[in-house]
Amino acid sequence: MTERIHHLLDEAVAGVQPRDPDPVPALLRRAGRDRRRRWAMGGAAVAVAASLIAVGGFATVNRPSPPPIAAPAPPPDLTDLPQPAPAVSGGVVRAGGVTIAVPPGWTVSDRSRADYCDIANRTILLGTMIMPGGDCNSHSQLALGLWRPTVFPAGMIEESDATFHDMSLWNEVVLPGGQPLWLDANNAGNIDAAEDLTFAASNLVLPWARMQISTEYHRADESVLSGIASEPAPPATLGLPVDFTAVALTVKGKGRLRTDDPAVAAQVLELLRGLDRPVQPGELPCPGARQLSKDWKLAGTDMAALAFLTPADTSGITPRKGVKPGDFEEAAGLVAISADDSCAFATSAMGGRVHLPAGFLGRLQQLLGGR
Amino acid sequence: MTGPAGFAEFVQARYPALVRHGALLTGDHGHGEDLAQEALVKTYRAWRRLHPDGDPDAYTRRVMVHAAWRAGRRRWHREIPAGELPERPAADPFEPRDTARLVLDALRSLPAQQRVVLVLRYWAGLSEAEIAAMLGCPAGTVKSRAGRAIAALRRMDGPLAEAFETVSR
Repeated sequence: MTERIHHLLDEAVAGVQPRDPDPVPALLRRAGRDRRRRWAMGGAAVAVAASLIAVGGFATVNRPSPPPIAAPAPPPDLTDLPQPAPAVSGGVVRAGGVTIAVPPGWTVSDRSRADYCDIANRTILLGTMIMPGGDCNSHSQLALGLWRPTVFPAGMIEESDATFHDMSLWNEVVLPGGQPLWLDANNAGNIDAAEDLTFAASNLVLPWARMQISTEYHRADESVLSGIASEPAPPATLGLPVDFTAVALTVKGKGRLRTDDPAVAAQVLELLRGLDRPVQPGELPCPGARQLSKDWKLAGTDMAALAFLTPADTSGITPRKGVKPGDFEEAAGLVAISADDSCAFATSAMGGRVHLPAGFLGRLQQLLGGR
Repeated sequence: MTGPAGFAEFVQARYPALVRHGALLTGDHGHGEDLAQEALVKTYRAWRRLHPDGDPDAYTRRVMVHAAWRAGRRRWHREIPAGELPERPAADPFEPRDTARLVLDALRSLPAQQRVVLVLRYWAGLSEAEIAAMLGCPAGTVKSRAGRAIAALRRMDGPLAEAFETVSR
């Protein structure tokens, strides 16, 4: 079948003829113009440097930059799944920038599959496919796995190794190390409720590492959460994708706004690129932030989710009958945006966290056709 | 004016094939020829290294691939004027929609990076590792771009969608 595809592509251009039957003169003229332009830019730089030396000082001067020799490769986006190889040393699990301190009395397992009832109490599992069922009491465990945000039409159900998330609203914890931990309202509520209950389960997303942690713990083991951290992340502006086909914004109480218009998407990107004040260590959470657990406060609550979407690679998914793989989209990029102007910031799943000007979310909504 | 020895002969011999390569990488005849010419200017500048002991055709194609790949980064960076006219006239609904045109239309509808990976994988016959090495990106990026391109093509009508129906990724 690949021969068929090759043949189709071949045939598609078989009739293509150059517009210019003799391109050599034009090429030589272009090459000459390029050379003269590069010499002129270099000459301008020399002249400016000479004038600086002549006046005995230095000042910031806007000079034309030399043309780049080679443009850097675009940054990986959320669809470029990393292949982190978890490692354990010195009582710490490390994987893709995530660090998990192994509490006393806990063990680490990297089995590829395990039945739930065969997992010992107080185990950290690395990339394990956990088979449900069996007749046993619940136990405390942390299961580290890959995360991949995929959007699908409401009501669809699928099964796969990865966990799929609707583009719902996010709550954010700033981990020791500076990276974000995201959890939706349901999972935040589960952790909150653990104060009153004996057992809690929740799903925690570490978007920058493309990983998630599924947690289950008895109340006495809650301190295992405080061992989750990131490798130190310096303050940075928002990492943004370059390859996507649509943009969707989900805002609490306002539903979802979406555009497939390249011009609008370009304006959205420009708006985000203009955010040039990275959040510094210690600035979050803001005073008055909601306490989620003994060690965690929510820096952001019910944050709007801005997704950069692209058709999904659905290999490994078994969709429900009637659903075509083409019905799925996945997020090449995700930005969580706080709606609270008293503590306004945005965090990118590709890294970076910035302060927001007042009314930013409203401007974004207007751009996407909302009010 | 013919330039350095061998350059004009190389261009005359390879230009039509390079234009066809460019058409596949861009999904468009005109843009494909522009891509080929821009790459040949770079080949001209590197000619002393490439001739007679190098491979100027391979060099030119590699430059074209890199330029087409980087064009994907600029996809959303430009304002698109509301009044901009399409480069080619609107399709005549009564004109026969031949296979070649349908295939090029489908290619053109893909984001640039997906199109580049698709062409390298299924027309040039490169492996994912070879494509990753050429583009200087992780193999995972190549795999995901190829997967998304195939998913997008399968959603369309036409010969490429049918051909990709039974391709395992």
